[in-house]
Amino acid sequence: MSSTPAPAGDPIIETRNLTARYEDTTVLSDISLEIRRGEVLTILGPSGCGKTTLLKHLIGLAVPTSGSVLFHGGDMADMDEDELEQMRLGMGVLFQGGALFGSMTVEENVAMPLVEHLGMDLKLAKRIAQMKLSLVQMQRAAQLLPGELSGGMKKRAGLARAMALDPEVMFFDEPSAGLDPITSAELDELILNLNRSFNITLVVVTHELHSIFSITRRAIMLEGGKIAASGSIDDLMNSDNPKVKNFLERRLVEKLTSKGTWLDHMMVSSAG
Amino acid sequence: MPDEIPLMANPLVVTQQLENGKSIIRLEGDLVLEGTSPELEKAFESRISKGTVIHIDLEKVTDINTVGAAALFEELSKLNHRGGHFRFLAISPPAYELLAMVPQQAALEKTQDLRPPASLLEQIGESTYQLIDHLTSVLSMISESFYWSFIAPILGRGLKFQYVLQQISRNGIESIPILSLILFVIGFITALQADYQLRRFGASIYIADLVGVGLTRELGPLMAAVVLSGRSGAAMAAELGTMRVNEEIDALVTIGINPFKYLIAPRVLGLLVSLPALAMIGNCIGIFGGYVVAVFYKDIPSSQYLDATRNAIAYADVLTGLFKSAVFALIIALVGCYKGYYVKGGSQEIGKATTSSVVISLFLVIIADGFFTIFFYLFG
Repeated sequence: MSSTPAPAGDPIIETRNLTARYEDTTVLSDISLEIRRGEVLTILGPSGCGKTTLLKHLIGLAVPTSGSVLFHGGDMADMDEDELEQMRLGMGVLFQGGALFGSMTVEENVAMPLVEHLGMDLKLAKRIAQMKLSLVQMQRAAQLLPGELSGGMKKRAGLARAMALDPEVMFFDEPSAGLDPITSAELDELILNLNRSFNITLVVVTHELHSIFSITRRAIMLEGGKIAASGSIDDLMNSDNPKVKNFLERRLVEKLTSKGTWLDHMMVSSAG
Repeated sequence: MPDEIPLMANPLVVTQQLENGKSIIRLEGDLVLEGTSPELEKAFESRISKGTVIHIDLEKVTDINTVGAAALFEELSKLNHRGGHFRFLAISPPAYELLAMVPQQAALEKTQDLRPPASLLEQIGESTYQLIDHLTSVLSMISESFYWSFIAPILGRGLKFQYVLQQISRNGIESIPILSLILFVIGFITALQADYQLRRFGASIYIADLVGVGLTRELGPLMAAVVLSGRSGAAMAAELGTMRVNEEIDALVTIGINPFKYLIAPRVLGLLVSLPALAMIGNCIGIFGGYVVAVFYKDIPSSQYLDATRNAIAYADVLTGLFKSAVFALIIALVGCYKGYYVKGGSQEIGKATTSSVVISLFLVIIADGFFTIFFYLFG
């Protein structure tokens, strides 16, 4: 990850001047980015910077206020229901809490996209579910309900479900949020393996520094709804933008030392 | 007071003085407060006028807590906003440490009233926009639900039939015991109340008419709707709300499954079958409740009561009841699904959505019932 990797392939998803506004607040402004085939793109930034909103736009779950999101060159806003459905077949999403369907067993959760979408025979779908679950070391938990799983297991089950339809691009919303360091390192490794072994394009949204350093190949850092920096980790570390550097070096934006606070300017001596 | 730990080891002393024409407020001791400090307020209050410069000496502040710092900032910001100024003469290290943690803007910003008063025109405009927003989302929800419940299955775009059955079982079959109990009592009460009036005319046999018609036209559908809006409408709002909060609905969409087809259409159709069926079952049980009063208490012959009931209830009464209960079913299902589907935020919103789904659906059911009754009275 020393230098910026060469563009891996043709763009799968592109945003052009994407702006998203909720009521009076602008969550994203003027975001243009490309996700290329076979790459691992990390979207990082502090809490509340618009990462999850950007993710929802990339999946087509939200409609931009202005600008556009393209999937294989076609504007998502112009797609009809069937085209959107077709598009989403090529995408797998791991939501923050796993988002497993609470009334179904783990196995049924993974089998569901196959049965519902491809109209696959239930037996075959369950066989495939078993295969996907074994990829994430969850085959033993196949018959459990989501309520009986730990946080890490829920995410792994969610990962298996996201992989069910063999997507070409996968999205991860804060994969390590709420996990202990070892579990989250394992999950990071698992995610990277998907890229290495199956050449799946990955988009990872995260604010966890250890994940950032282990996963990131190419990154985009959001700050206040704008792209503050992009490139490899080294590019980001050498960014001119102090907020980017500070974020990666885990520093407070405003350092509170005994000199230079506003109180000092209010002292009689400094005011003369 | 041996048991009480003294909060202020070093009580706060506020002094004001004039020194070489400088107005000084000096705080000494612990600026450790549990609320506003009248002394502090008084010291500032008496000195505020436009253009004054107040010098604040915090050198001998031995301890400070958040409330103390906030109280001080509150006074300073008031001073600022009335055109006064302040300077610190000295700040003790413990005070400095806490005060410096607060950025200047936050410290001196004017604390706002919770809701800045809007003008009447603004309020009208604001609520009109909200109403339009709300109406658009309600209408789009209703049209989507109707499409996926009634039109899509005909067009061959599929219907999750096993989910409809599941909903019928959960909302319909499982509600039979409670509904039977309620309607038995209702029939019983109606009969007793009717008899109370009718026996004065020696017309107790008309209990059968009152109970029969009252239940099939009115009480059967209405009580079934009340029970189901509490049982099923609330459950729909809570289930869909939980799914929304857990991102399960987003997950469905990304898997390529339409939530209206998968979640909402089965609920609408399930209730549309369950509620009229329950109303009919309830009618029979309610009539039986009246029968118990008439036959065992009033000694009206069983066959006579049944004949009177059969003669009293016209075909139209049953149809009216069925039609009403179908409309009630749509109201309850749509309100419950709407409230749950559009939950925003966290789990506390699910509770609110559940409560308001019950309140709104009951309200709409009663309004609709009133409307139908007037309509059938005038044109029936």
